[in-house]
Amino acid sequence: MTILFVGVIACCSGKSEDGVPLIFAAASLSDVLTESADIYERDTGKRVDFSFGGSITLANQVANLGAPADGVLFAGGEPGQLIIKAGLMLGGNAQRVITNSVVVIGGRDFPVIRSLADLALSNERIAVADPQLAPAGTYAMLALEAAGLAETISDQLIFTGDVRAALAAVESGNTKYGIVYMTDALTSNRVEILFEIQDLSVDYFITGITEAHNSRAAQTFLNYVLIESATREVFKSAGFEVRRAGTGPGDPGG
Amino acid sequence: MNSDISIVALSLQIALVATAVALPLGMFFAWLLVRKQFRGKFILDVLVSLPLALPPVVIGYTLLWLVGTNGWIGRLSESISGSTLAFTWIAASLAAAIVSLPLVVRSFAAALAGVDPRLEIAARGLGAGSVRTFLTVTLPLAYRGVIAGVLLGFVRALSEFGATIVVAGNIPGRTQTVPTAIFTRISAGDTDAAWRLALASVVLGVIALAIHNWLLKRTSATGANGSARANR
Repeated sequence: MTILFVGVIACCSGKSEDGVPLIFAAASLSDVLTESADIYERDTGKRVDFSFGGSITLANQVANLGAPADGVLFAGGEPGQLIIKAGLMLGGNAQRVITNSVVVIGGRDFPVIRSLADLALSNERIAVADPQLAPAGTYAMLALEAAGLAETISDQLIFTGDVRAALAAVESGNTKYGIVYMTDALTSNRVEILFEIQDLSVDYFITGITEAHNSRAAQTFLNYVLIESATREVFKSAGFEVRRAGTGPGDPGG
Repeated sequence: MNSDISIVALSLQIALVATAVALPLGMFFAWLLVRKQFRGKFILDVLVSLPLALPPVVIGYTLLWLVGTNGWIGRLSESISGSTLAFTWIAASLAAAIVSLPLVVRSFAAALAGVDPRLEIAARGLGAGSVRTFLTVTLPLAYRGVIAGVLLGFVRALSEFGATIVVAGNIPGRTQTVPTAIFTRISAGDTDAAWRLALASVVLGVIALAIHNWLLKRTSATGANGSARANR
């Protein structure tokens, strides 16, 4: 039995070295990254695998639980800190190249509101990503705290595993309102953007992972996505703010 | 999106390997519990039943520590192949094997308890070794328990969610099984896609149960339980 077990490990866990990089990425990037990967594959013939989810969930998996990510794109600073603290950041981090903003959305039959205070007064359910699992939730809570509403509004909050699940809750009508990224709201014609949270921009932390099996391949893909005009355009049309890629992940500063 | 066929195929692969591991182990434990007396037997009984009483996420988390960077299985794997077993399909199979083990044990133990031990003693008395006795006398008389154990264990392995998602993650193409894929699709609001896979689950369950019934019907009356008349 032990021999069989060891044999299975030996033959089958090597599968991760077939050269296809595994990229862990924020749920908010699922559409644009999948499309970018299609472009990348048409151009270079190389495939990329993804795992999308709440950035904190994923960062924790990579940093503390040994998940075999080769590269990451996470929303906000906290997941990035987890990666850096674990000593897993390969080379540089593409800072402030991709940025998002946070909006409040309404689904079906909602009374129109114009501010967070209105949101609290409405007494309706609000879908938000769980702040412990996804930065979209963390930032939503920050905005509510800054407005002094976190206490009063807490009973109305419905936490979901990631920001796309929050979007889905509003789309389905299970909650009337939601706090998601601008780009998530734009993917759906079943929700309406009510207003944007001011002075809140979320930068994506983008880097390869050290000691990963396919980190070179991951970095190649990440550089491609941030530099090629075709993929940059995909991000821009989705509503992300895209700046010049001064430093790509892994570049020593070029 | 990860295609439905590939998700089902991976789930089947994981469940088959899990059952292949749980079956011999389960039969052995059942045999120990039914036929043998030894100190600490109560502990074995508890351990083998524990996965039934624990939340699957607890099983997954415990397994994660064993097969990750801090556990001995993880370190063994790292020395062989350079990476731990965490977040691989093998980890998913191990999790599935653990949750199906109690079902295999119970099914086989129940069948074993119905086999007259005097038949085994007689075989031994006639010169058969313990393995030969088990294979030629015990097993044919307890085959119903094997069939039930295999099927129950298999469908349980196929539907494992909590342990899988903790120890193997939910990585499309690598560790995303039917249950975890359905969860992702529900979360993303992909209702059509979620229902398609839910339907696939139903079909798989029906097929498993049909095979179970067919295998049981294939009894020859003469192969029946040695200590009681076979009756329909």
